[in-house]
Amino acid sequence: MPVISVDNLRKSYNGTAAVDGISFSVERGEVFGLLGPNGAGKTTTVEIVEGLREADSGAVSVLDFDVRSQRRDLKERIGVQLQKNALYPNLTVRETLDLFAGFFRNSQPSIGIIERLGLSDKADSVVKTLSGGQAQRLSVGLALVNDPDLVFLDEPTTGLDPQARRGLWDVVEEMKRSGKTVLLTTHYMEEAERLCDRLVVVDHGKIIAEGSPRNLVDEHFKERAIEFEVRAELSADELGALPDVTRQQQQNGQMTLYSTNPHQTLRALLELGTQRGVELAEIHIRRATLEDVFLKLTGRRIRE
Amino acid sequence: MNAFIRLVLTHLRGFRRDRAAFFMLFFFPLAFVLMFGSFFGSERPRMPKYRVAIVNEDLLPGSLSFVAGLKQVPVFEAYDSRNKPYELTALKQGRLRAVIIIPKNFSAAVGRPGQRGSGLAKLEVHYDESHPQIWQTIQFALIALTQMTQGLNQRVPPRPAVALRARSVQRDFAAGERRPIDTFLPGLIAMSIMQLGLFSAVPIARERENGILKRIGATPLPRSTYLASQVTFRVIVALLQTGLLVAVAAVFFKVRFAGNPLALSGIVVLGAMTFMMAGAVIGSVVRTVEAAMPLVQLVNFPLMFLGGVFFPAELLPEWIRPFVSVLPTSHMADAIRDVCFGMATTASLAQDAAYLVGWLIAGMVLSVKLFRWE
Repeated sequence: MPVISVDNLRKSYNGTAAVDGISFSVERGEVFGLLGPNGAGKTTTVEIVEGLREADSGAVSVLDFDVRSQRRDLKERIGVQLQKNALYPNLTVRETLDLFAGFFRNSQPSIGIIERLGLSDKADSVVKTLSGGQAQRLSVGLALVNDPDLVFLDEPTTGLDPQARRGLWDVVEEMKRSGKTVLLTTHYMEEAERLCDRLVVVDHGKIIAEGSPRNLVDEHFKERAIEFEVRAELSADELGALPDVTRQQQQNGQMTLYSTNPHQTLRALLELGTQRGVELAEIHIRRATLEDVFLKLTGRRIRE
Repeated sequence: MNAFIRLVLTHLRGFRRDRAAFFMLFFFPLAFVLMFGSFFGSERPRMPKYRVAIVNEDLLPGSLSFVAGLKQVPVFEAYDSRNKPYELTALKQGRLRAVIIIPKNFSAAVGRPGQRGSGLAKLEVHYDESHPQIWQTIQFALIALTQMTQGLNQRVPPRPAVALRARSVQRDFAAGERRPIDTFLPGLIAMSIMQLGLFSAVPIARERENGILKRIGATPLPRSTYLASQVTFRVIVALLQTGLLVAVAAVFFKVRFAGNPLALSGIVVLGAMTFMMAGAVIGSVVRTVEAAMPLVQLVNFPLMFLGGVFFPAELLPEWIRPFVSVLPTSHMADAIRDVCFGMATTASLAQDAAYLVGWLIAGMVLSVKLFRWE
């Protein structure tokens, strides 16, 4: 029995479809991701599942509750972190957690959560003095006050610096180790690749790909990516004709060749460069990533 | 219950830790009292003359010329009386400003021109304590008189012949007319409560605008609990504010609070709840602070001007009065005024309270129905 099952969900605002027939299911104990650019419909989907929004049509069941008729019971059992980090600025970290703990029938002591979030030395500081990363961790911590089995995290690391982001990833991985089910939305590829057991890629309110991060990449790319700076001396046609190149992408001054045999392709590329007297800077080979999958499926990068 | 108490504490903490909000909330009403009080407060509406009763128990030439002198003081409207207790009661009720009692041995003590008097006369002056200038005028009149009778005669060294015994009298508030500050204070309390309540729409709208309400809405907390916590918080603030206003008016302008503090607290609590609920209704329907402000003013202004806070409702045109008499503001202001002046009766309070309760229930039903987390 899945923890969340969403079937053919639709929601439109002023005639524009924000969610356009999304279906997925989340199993107990997994970290499930909704990956997609801003405006893809991720937040709308999550907020319908949380019971904060009404869907136009489609069926949603969460922890065997009907999100329309059993909203109170559902909210009692789930943990929610909203995309917009809104807290009372004049409360301390401890007071904030205690306040929200009071809203639930069952709650766990704030001290344990403060430790897990790494906020022990900030426990009695008021929220407005916290850094962005600390406030965001507190916001995620609020999703844990009722010790829920199911946690929703809506873009938990948006706007954070890399170090703060890794700190939050540790918190999410800790949730997973303690057996919680996590539904996560993000537009960071690295985040999805690192945290998610399974994910769906969402664009324009529709699911365009589904699977584990590894499977998604393998499914779409048997190739490796060779990346280098675009040079006028080398035409796109010539590069496309290099041995074993299956596809090519040019974006933001960067050329990416996807090759089934990177060794051969690279040698031919370097020879071509020598003939033209062009020294290719910053050249490197990497595995394909979810970013490449998204690029292949939509022709766009996920963040632009 | 736990959630409710924690929310009330949260509002109180936020209020206490937000110095600007804390300051403004108390600053405005205080500034009003101090300004109004120092401009008009301690003066009575302009009177042509001070009515002064003279009870002359002596009736000999010395005292008669003294009385004649008093009657010529331009600001006095002095008259003779023989009924001392009656005049003292009238003074207490504010129908006159002073009672001067001239003792039997007055003339003998003052003496005749060129002659030293004998003994010491005790002149009693009872005067309205809010008019110390009466007391001074009487002193001057007395000095003039003694100079007339004694000072002309160089051979007789001046000596005190008359001992003045001043009795300042505190007027009964329930009777006589009041100074502007006396009537102003209850109106100010009513206005403060009304605005405190109505403007609570703004913090609610702010919490919605910055997403805190949405965050709370993602928990099982009922909307009614949140609204109740906001109301309770404001009621506490309203009580503090009222206490402060009464204290400041008493210390600076000697406004006496004649009523029952418990009755005042009761009216303040009921009024604050009623207007807070009205604020919550506005706060429930708007999404942003910018939208809340004009809507609050749209309600605030008519209530302020029609509600009898600034000027009596009797000055309004006939056709609008039935409408005005239903408004919660006039009932709250009336009830507070009655309690402050010690004129409240159980019946009058019950009637005013009934109107407030009616509005309160309407506000509760409406705000719980209209309230949205987002």
